[in-house]
Amino acid sequence: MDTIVVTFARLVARGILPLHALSTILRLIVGFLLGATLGVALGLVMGRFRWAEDLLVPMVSVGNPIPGLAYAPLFVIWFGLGNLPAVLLVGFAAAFPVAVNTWTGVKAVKEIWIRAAQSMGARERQLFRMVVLPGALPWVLTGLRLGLARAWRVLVAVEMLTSVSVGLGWLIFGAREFLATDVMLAGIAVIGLVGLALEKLVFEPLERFTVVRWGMLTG
Amino acid sequence: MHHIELRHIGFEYAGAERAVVALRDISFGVGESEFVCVVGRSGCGKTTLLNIVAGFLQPTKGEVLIGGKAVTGKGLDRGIVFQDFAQLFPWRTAQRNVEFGLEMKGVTRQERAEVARRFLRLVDLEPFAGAYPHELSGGMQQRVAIARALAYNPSVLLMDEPFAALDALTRDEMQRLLVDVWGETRKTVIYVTHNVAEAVYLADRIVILTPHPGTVRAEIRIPLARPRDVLSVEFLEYQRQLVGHLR
Repeated sequence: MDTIVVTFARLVARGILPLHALSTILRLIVGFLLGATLGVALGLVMGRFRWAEDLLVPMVSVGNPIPGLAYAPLFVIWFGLGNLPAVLLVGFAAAFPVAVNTWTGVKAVKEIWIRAAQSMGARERQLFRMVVLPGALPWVLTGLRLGLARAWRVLVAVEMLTSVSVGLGWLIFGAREFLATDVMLAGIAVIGLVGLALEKLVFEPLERFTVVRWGMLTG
Repeated sequence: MHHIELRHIGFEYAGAERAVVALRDISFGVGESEFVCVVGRSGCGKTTLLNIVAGFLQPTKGEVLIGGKAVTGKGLDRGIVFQDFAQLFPWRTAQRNVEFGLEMKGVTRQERAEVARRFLRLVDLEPFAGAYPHELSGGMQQRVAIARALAYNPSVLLMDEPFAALDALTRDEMQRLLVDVWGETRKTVIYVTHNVAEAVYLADRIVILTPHPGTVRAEIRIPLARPRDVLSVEFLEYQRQLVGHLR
């Protein structure tokens, strides 16, 4: 335990951990934003249009339980090595839970809100923007949270596979060569800390400001 | 000429084996600024009837006229209050809920706020303009719903057992408030309920529906002056009469 703390401090002081962590976080953010955008868009389209639901829901349902990592070799063949396949795979893997939950959220919007809005003259577009979107938000947030967790998992593993030159996954994998378990554990600790920080600094405030304040979720 | 005319309304829906007749040949009119209660047991089709007037359902026979024009769908000439407290949008404050219909009409922000405030004052909720629905009690939420249904100035107010889920004391209070609000706004009201005392307290006229299929059994006019004394002999006599028709 002491060794890990010391190694952790040493790696931080030398700027090694921050460097690796930063590049991993950048990949995570870009990949996740990509996946979140794609997932929310897909989910909304599936929830709104019957044809999209018939066409896409079976595909997404089959794709959702497949671990994102299973696609890693394919992405390497398609997009080569380095950042591009890593980021794309992260986005791809994150999109599934986001899409499924967004779709469910749109479907779960209460009929009585729709009726009330229609009786007050809301047209299709207004209904979607002012009732369906906020009504589905608790589900969308759940989807984003699941998507982020999945993105995280895929990213660390994929960094070990796609030969990026810097990143937490690479750091841990590289430390194996030297049997440097303290470095591995320090890297793992950073992964945990970043996950926690995202939860506390991004998702909790976002929820507090929206669904908790609206009483749609107890905080 | 009545403000609302129901002409030979019939409604059928597809049952397991054959079509079920929910409503048969329902005709009555509601005068300008008249308060009509539709009373019947559960399952007599009174909510279906209200949904037809609201434009959510198309009658299979007959037609509804409002101001001489046939109803073809939903419209801003009708405001609707449902029984379910969940009808308010939880992501909007009381005031923003009341503003919704005005927003749909394209009214400016400032004017919306003014009108919403005025209607919240009408239902005694102005201090709660900034509260979210989940912070309000059931009775307060229903008052917001009434303000919301009135704010865009429909000529007709349709109410589907709006106080049925409230406790008895709150319900009495809400009925008094509704009579005041109606006295001030002079809307034409169709109010659906199964509560006999409530109907006699509120209505100018009561239309009694009997089930299987829903048909008009009788109409009672209540000429008592408002506010009505619920313990007076006349009040109780009307209740007795109404209960007799429902048996």
